Amino acid sequence: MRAELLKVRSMPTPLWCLLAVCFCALLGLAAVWNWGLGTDLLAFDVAIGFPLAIASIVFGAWIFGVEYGQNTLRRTLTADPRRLRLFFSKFIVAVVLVSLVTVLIHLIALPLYDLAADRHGQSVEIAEFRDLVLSKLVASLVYVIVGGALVLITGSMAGGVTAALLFIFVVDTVLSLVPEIGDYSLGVALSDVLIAIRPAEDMQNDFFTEGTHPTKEAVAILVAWLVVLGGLGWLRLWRSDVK
Amino acid sequence: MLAAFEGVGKSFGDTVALEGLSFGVPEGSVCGLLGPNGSGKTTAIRLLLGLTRPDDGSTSLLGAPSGGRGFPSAIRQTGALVEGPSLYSRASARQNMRIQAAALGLRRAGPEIEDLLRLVGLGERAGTRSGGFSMGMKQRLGLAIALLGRPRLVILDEPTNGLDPSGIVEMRGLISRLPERGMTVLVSSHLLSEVELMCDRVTIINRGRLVADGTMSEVVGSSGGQSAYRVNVADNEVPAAVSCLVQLGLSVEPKGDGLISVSGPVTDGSQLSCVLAAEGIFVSGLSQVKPDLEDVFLSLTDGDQL
Repeated sequence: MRAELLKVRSMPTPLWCLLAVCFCALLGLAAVWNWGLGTDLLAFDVAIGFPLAIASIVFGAWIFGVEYGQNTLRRTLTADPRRLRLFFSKFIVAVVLVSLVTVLIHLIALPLYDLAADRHGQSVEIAEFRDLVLSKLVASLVYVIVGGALVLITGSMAGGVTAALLFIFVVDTVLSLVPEIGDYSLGVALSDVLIAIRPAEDMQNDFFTEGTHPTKEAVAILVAWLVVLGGLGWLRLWRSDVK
Repeated sequence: MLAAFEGVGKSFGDTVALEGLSFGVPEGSVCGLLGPNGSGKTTAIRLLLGLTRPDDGSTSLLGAPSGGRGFPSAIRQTGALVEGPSLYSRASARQNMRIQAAALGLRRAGPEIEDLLRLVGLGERAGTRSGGFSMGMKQRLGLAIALLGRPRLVILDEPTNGLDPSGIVEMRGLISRLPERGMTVLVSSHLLSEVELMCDRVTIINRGRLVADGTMSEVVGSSGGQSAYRVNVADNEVPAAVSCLVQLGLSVEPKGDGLISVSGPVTDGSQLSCVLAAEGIFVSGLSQVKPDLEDVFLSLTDGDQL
């Protein structure tokens, strides 16, 4: 795990992900200063939540794919050949760092956005903010795992990032449109879980609707997706010869 | 044996990479692994390190079977540089070393890292991103990474690739000194002269099969067991000398300018001189031609390209 943390510290991609999220959060602060928070803490959603989702995909893809991108898998496995250990080291570091960044960036933004919103007579409701952070935490974790899994499945960092973005924004969206089957897409299940955290009836915006599945069922579908994708990624890492 | 192959076979689709390969690397030796392109050298090294699995047979490292319970511990005592240096290009030389030290589970490796960077001549460039290094510097950093944790066995695959002549000499010196640090070395190289200078043992494989294995003198001496000599006589005495030597059952070939190449069961060069002198032919020059590793390699691999 220490080696994975050192890689995060030594290489630029994680830093660029963090800087991009911070930059977007600052843009959001400017927007709140000028136009207020928007309904249902929209400024947090757009300026922090969405960049965090993209950054989580990229970071997940990077941490699992750095050995493919830099051609260092053979070096890593000749230091410690236990591939399961490598897999879980990366998994744990990815989950912990993404969780930390998601929570911290929201906590740092809270007083700043609240102060800026005060100009428009608005304030951030703590209960609403807590639910928002929890929902973003769940989304970030899902995206970091999907990003990492698709890199392992493709065996390529660039291929994995592309595949992850295509999967989340195109394939899964198309899948969700297929009658009956679509209800079991990753996006629908994630959306149901997020709605359970931030109930639609608490929202002012019409964009938020009722969920498709009961919460427990949605969680089960979501976990199943992550286990299948992660499992396929693990199988590819475990079975493949290292060039 | 610190590394051993027992009847190892490996195929990639229809292509047989290795077949029934068995050999070992004794502790304290510098063992050269030679073979033409595509002979299976790198596949053998990858199998040894557990990067790929054999179809038949088994490999072991420091007595631990590949993939077995003791294998992770064995591999931590093994340094490897396989198919060129494997570096995090955006990280500095020092950071690359720290990452590897962490992966090996080494604590407080700072002094060792600095020592190794100095050993390979990168002490001044420790803070420079490895992506900006020349091929030679990358190879040296790769070697330093392989030496982290004072491994008992160091496996180097083509360590002189991409190095200029002075870099090759430097690398050869570094590798030759590793046994002084208590390390055993298995080095594959396509440079026969390098192997001959660096190694005390040599293993030759061709088309996935073992064709020679032993100490350098054993392998070089196994090239047919016949001695070869170059004899100089006066130009006009060449026909008589040839006739005399042929009668002794030797293989004789006039090379021009009074030079005759002689090979066959000759125990001592003076034997030739005596025989010719008895016929009134005086030898003006006599030298033994010793077979070198290149001769042996070419004879064992049917002249396949390195």
